[in-house]
Amino acid sequence: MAIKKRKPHHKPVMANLFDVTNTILVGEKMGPGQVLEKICNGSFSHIVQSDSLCFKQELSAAHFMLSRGKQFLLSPIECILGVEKSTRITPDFTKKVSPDSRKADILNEFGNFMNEVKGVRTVWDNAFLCADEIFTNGTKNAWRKDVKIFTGPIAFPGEVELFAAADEKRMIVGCRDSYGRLNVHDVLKQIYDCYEKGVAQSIRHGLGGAGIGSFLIFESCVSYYLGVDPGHKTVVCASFPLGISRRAAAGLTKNIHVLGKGST
Amino acid sequence: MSQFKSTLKSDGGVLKLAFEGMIDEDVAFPQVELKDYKAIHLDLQGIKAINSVGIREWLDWIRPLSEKLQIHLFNCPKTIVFQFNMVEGFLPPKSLVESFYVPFFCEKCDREENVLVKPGREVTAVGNSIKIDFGGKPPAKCDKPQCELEMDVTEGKYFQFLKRV
Repeated sequence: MAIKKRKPHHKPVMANLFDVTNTILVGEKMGPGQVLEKICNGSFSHIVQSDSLCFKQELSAAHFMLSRGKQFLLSPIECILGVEKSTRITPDFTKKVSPDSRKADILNEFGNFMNEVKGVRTVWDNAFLCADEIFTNGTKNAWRKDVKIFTGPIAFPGEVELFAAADEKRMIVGCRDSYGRLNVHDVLKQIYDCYEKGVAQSIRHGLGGAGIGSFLIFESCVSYYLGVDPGHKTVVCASFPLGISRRAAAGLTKNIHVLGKGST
Repeated sequence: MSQFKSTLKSDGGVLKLAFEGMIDEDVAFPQVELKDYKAIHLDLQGIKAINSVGIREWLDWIRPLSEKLQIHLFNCPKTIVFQFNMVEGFLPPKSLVESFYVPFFCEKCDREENVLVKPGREVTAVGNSIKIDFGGKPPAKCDKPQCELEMDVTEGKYFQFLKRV
């Protein structure tokens, strides 16, 4: 593992997309678009900013993902918030999806969890939206592609789980599935396109997702974590700051962590 | 989060609509007979959230309407204002925002208030800048001592859409 510290600079073209090396870029004052460019450029699998929220813990999470990738896919919350449960300000939330699950019910349960989290007020809407988007992304693999999302019984056997946890400074929202079908390249390209072309121009029309959900998550969170073991597991998480105003949160720089390329 | 609902009321050549709940993949926007109306007054006060598919559905619904009718948007919550600024066309070119909410927040007591403002009254776009004037009174107040409710938006971003209006 190498840790490189570089001054941010603008690089307009995505080259060698996802020939990912296992390195961490420690940057500072990089805007969201620059973070996306750097990660898409493929030289780094983690971008951690020294002026971001919980820099040391983010760096530890990057190290954890690089050295114990499979453990991250099993226990992402432990990787991000640490194994010590006493730091949690409320019991962790986990909700498995069953064939008769309704998205609205699961999201309402998640909303109830958030209502117990101190300092969540200014990120409540964003975290709820994030849960909606990652849950939809996770579960859409469980349904047939040619039907409306969440219509009818699950078509493919597997497990999908929405989870969340919080310590005093951050709330983590994530989804884990046993399909391992996430294509990391596609997800990051979709987010990148939203910054480059605009959101409206990046919307996918017709059946299925709109193709901007991952952008909405990335735009609203302070750290974004993608992990995939093709054919076995996918984990997507986002981190939200607690106890600060929207104005203060808007000034925080973003981190991104990628584990594996996923299906191509 | 509640399911999407819409109510319609015809008032001469004006169609008065009110939306509430969540705009997502299950949304069913009302069909509007273009020939019957000159304008739409759309109250968005009850909208709680909008997801990525909801954004697409909104664009598909409002684009053709805005080409034929004057659309007036009332009581726009912050989740809708965020889309005005982020998604081109979410606020159609000839539509008018009549009122929208601005969040105020106190970090000390973790309290939030959403204050309804009107473009041209409390908040005005003057050239490339935004003028904010609550007439010398605090727009949001808390009874707790030392509570300081402050406007909780990045002004350059949140009021961006007014420069276009």
